[in-house]
Parts: sequence; C-alpha cells; structure tokens
Amino acid sequence: MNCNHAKDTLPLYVGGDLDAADADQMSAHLQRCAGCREFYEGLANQQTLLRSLRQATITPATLASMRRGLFHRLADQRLGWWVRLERFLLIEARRPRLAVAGAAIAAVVFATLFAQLWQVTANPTVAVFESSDILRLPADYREWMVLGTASTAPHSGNIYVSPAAYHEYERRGTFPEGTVMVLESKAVNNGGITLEASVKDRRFNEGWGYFRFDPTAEGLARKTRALPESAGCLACHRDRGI
Amino acid sequence: MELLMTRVPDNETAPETLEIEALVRKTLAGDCRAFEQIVRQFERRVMTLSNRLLGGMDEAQDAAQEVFLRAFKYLHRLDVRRPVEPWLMRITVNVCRDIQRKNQRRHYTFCEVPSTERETPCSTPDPYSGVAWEQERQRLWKALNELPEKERMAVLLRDVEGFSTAEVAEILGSSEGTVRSQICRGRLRIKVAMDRKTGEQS
Repeated sequence: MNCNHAKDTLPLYVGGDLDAADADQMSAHLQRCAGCREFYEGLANQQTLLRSLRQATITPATLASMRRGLFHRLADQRLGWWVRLERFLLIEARRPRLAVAGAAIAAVVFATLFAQLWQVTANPTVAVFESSDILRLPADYREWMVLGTASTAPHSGNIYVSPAAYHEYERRGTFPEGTVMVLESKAVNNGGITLEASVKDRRFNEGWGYFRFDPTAEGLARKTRALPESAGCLACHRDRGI
Repeated sequence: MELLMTRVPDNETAPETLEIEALVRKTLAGDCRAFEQIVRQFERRVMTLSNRLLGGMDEAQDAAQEVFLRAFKYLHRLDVRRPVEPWLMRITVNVCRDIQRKNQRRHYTFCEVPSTERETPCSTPDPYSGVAWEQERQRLWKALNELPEKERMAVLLRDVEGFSTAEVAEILGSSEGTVRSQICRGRLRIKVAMDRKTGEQS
C-alpha cells in the first residue's frame, strides 16, 4: 500500500469502516510509515472530538413538555381520507372476509373487461380471412351504419360499413385498410337476400376486392373467395368512379 | 379515530423490551397509550438529532412533535419486522430539512454546539474539560457544519449519532457505498479545515 492510497482510506479506517482485509493491510502500513501514522493520529483525535459532541443531554422535563404538546396536537389531528383509505387497504383488507370480497370484485371487473375484449375480437370491424383468401361474412354487419343505398344495376339495397371505418374516413378522407362494405339486396327470385361485399385490401388490383356470398343447401354462405377480375366488378366500379 | 387522552405518569419509564409490533398494532386499533409507549422509547433519540440539526431546544421540541405526528399518521406503512429507529430517524431528517427550508436558510450555520441541558452539575472533573477542549469542540462543530449538506448529514449520523453505515444509508435513503464515500470525504475535509485553522492560530 502506498501513502496516497493510505491517506485516501485512513478516514474510513479510523472509524472502523473498512473491511477486515483492508484494515489489516492498513495496520501493517501504519507500522512502517511514520508520516501516515501522524496523519492517522490527527484523524483519531478528531474522531474522539466528534464522539464527544454526542454528549448533549436532554432533561426528562423537556421530554415531558414535548410529549404534552405532542398529545395535545394529536388529539386535534384528523386523518385525511387518503390516509384512511391507505390504512384500510393495507390493514383491514388483510382480513379473510374482506379479502374474499375484494377478490370477488376483482373477478367481476376482470370478467367484464375480458367479455368486452372478447366482443371486440369476435366482432371485428375489419375483414377477417380464413387461410388468407376466404372472407368471412361479418356476423353483426346489420348493427353497422348504413352508408347509403345502391340503386344502380346490378345492385339494389343498403350498404353497411362499420362505424370505426367510417369515422376513419371522416378523419382522413380514405377508408382504412381492411374496411368491409356489405351490400344487402333482396333476391329477385326466392324472396331471400343476397349479400355482396367489397373489401379494401392492397393484395387486389387497385386495392379493392369483390365478394358474393352465394346461397348454399344450408342457407346463405358465411364465407367465400373473391370474385375473379373477369366477373367485371372492378371494371364497372372503376367506370362509375365508386 | 378517537384518541384517548389518558397518559402514563411522567415518572413511569417504559420497559425497553416492549414488543414494538404489538404496540404498533394496538396504536393502529386506536389505543393511544400504546403510541405513547412508542414515543417514550424513541423520544430522546429524536429530540437529540433534531436539536443537533436545528441548533435549538425549542425548535427541536417542535420538530420532535412533528416527527411523532407523522409517524402516527403513517404508522401503517412501517414494516414492523425491521428496526423502527432508522425509520423514525429518516422522518426526523426530513422534518428538520422541511423546517430549515421554511426558515429559508438552505444551510443552517451554527455558532455554538447546540444547547445542552444538564440535570445535575458535574461533580467529578472531566479529564477533557477545560477551555482549550471546549474551543476545539466549537471549532470542530463549525467545521462539521461547513461541510456540503450530504457529507455533513452522513458524518453527523455516523460519528456524532453513532449509527452504523448501513443505518445511515437507510436513514438518508441512499446506498451504503455512497454513504461510505461521503463519510470518508467529510472526515477528510474536517481534518483539512481543522489543520488550516490550527495553522492560522499558531
């Protein structure tokens, strides 16, 4: 150990704040080095002096007077609502009955949130595809808003769009990717309905895909593939600018 | 919470071995006598530190009252498995800091070693007594109070109050390593100041 290092750590050594190994090294150095010993002795005197400051004594009378004042103030003290709530949560809530009640409330809150989340996932406002190219008919399209009525052949009927997609259109001037528009028309022959959909999807030419949910043996199809471009949907829509 | 104003007579000393956990639980249940026993266990320590930090017995009394009011208010936050004293000391340090701030004195400068009350005059001569010794103490106190705030607190708690480094760290809400280096720098700075003044005097 050199003297510079010794002088840096002597203030710790003198107060017993070095670990055993360092303290042993320091003791050995002090044996050899008169200069550091002198420095150490000065520090040791200073420690004695510092400890002597501890002597301040306080009389029982002063303490009693402090206590009198304290309990006087304590009698006037009202705990704020926040402190009371904190106490309740930290202490009272540890009791089993309250813990059960708390857990029940937490469960209800959690279940509600979960149900809402499930609702949102189960009824998406964007197009949902099976194996990437089979569009699923949005189950709740009738709860969507009516964007307008199609009256030009070959279509006639209401056009539904999800409110979220519409709001996005209002805000930005374009429909967001994944927007589904569902056209519900009365079928000419059997009195039922036919459903068609257009989906904003950049995988299709010019960004829109066209779908028709044809009737099947079990009723209306719930999913379908996109109509080929040869069906003429895109060409007709392009011509009319819609 | 209703506070019971019945108090233990002043001459009755609380046994040191009182189970603090039981006292805390009773206090939280509204038993003011239990809180008084807590106060009695720690009042001397709180008063001494306040007195040293504020340099006056009146201010120390006010501070100690504030410390125990805060302790009472936030008693539910106390972890009873850990020692109570560092927790109270931490409150004391904060209360005294607030008082100093309120007095708009960022760094309190002391002229004298804080007031000492003696119950009985010393009958046996103190080997260290004497004018020179007292002067040395005054100079040391001044040097201590001229330290940067953090070093001053660390040295005061470690050397004057006699807390361990770990306790000082807990009181100041700092790490042991930081406190150790503050103590080291503080002691060294005091020595430099004391040596300089000795040089000036001779």
